[in-house]
Amino acid sequence: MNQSLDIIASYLIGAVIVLGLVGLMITFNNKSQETKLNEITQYTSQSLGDVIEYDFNKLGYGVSGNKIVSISDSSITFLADLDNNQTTDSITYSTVRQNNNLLLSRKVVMDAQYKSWTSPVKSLNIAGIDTAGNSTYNISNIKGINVRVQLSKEGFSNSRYAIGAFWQRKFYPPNL
Amino acid sequence: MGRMVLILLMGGGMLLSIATLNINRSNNEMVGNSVHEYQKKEAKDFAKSGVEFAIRYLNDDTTWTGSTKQLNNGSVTVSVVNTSGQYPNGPSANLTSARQITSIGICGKDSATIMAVVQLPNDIGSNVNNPPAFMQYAINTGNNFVMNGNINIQDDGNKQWNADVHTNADFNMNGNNTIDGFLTYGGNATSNPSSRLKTNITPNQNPNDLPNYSKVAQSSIPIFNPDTYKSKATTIYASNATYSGNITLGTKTNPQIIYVGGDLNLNGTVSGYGVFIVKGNIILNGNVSVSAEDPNGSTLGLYTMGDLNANGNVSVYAQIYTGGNANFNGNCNIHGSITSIGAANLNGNVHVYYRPAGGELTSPFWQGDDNSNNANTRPSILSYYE
Repeated sequence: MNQSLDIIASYLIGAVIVLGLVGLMITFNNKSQETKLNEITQYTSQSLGDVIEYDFNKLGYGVSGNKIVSISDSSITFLADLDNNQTTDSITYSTVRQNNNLLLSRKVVMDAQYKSWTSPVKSLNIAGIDTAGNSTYNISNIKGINVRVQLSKEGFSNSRYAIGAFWQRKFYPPNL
Repeated sequence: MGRMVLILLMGGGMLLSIATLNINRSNNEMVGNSVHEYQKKEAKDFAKSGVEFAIRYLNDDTTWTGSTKQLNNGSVTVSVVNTSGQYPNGPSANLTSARQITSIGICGKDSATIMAVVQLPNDIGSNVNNPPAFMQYAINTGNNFVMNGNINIQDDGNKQWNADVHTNADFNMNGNNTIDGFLTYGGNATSNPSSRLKTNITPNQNPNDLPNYSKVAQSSIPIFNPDTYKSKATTIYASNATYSGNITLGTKTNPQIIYVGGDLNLNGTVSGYGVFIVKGNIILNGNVSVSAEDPNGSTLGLYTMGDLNANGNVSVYAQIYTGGNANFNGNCNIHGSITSIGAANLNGNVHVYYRPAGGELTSPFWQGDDNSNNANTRPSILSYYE
């Protein structure tokens, strides 16, 4: 009888230990996954920021007339000599929806060649800044540009881990 | 049973170790990203500082060719070469006194390069051929300044120029008016609607982020009496005078000075440099066109002890001084500047295209100033590439 009780007790203890281990592993795996996603999101936001900074810091460079062609809260088209080869390039940032996914779209007409690039984002917000620091979409009053991009892992935000990143920069291009 | 638990513990421990390693690696990557981002920004800031550093040195010594400075966790290397192009490594734009600055900032393993072309002032610290301070505005009035209707005060095709406006008294604008420069006033500033003060006054250049409009101390505009300078006149009219058609004046170094003892009626095309000094009023009535040829500044001075009255379709290229009022009504285009001891009244469809006043047209009458807000006192950036 005592032997049977020992076996049952040991099985129970073993089961508790195994369950504990499994729970711990699941928690650690989730944490690992969350950290990895954080890293990927951070890296993506940095890369995206690099591209945006590269373009916006050159806004108006090598252009004698109007430098901003059009601007709205989710798109902008401006001119700049991106590669400093004395020809004016046209750069457009906007959002496009593809298979229910929102993509940030960068289109460049450079040296009569069209180049396009997209990256998944949660939202894109663009605003001109006037000399008083207020938002404006009147091209003649724009002295700076405010760009905000929100990144997130679609489908993951409903779980208890909402992985995302918010990238924002105010540009005051010297050539504007 | 004991063995099984041991094996499970070892397996679980191994899996936990792998998960922990993954977490650590991701954390390290994120820290690495942050450090990389920081260094990249630092390198860019070093390079930006290098450009400012170069401008500061070029301001003192135009022959300065650059140097390397060691900074905390990095360095900045600046080189300066002569250029005639407006853009770094670009084709010649026949610029004189321009310099190309190349600034390389290094922080850790990251580096950033910024190139800029700057224009040096022609005469650093010199007040030769600078107009007096009171003539360094698009519009400067001793009395009230009122803009009614559709009035634009802007640069004449050069965004490096601020079309500044100053009044010693009150400023008031009604309607859709714009000023592409700073507004300063000694009294009060009002607009209808009131928001236009904030939205419609926008300087072309505001590197120090100064307020677009502000109350300042009154500035003096000297009284001008043509009789004082009658002896300098090359042509003298004792009473009224009328000029029309093609009017040929003097040279930049020797501008013609025309004294008019009464009123002056003017309508025609002016070539050369000259100044009308008038005791009475200057009248521009009807379809009047007074044009001049130098795109970089005014070549004609219209200085009167009385009023300047412009009515109708008037286009005039001149720097204007009035001891009385300056009145523009109708469709008027003024390419130059307006200085008035009295009031400046702009009504209707008036456009002021600011051109800096020419010192050669003011030096016979007033001493120049070197605190010009238009003449370059510091190297100015023409283009900037990072």
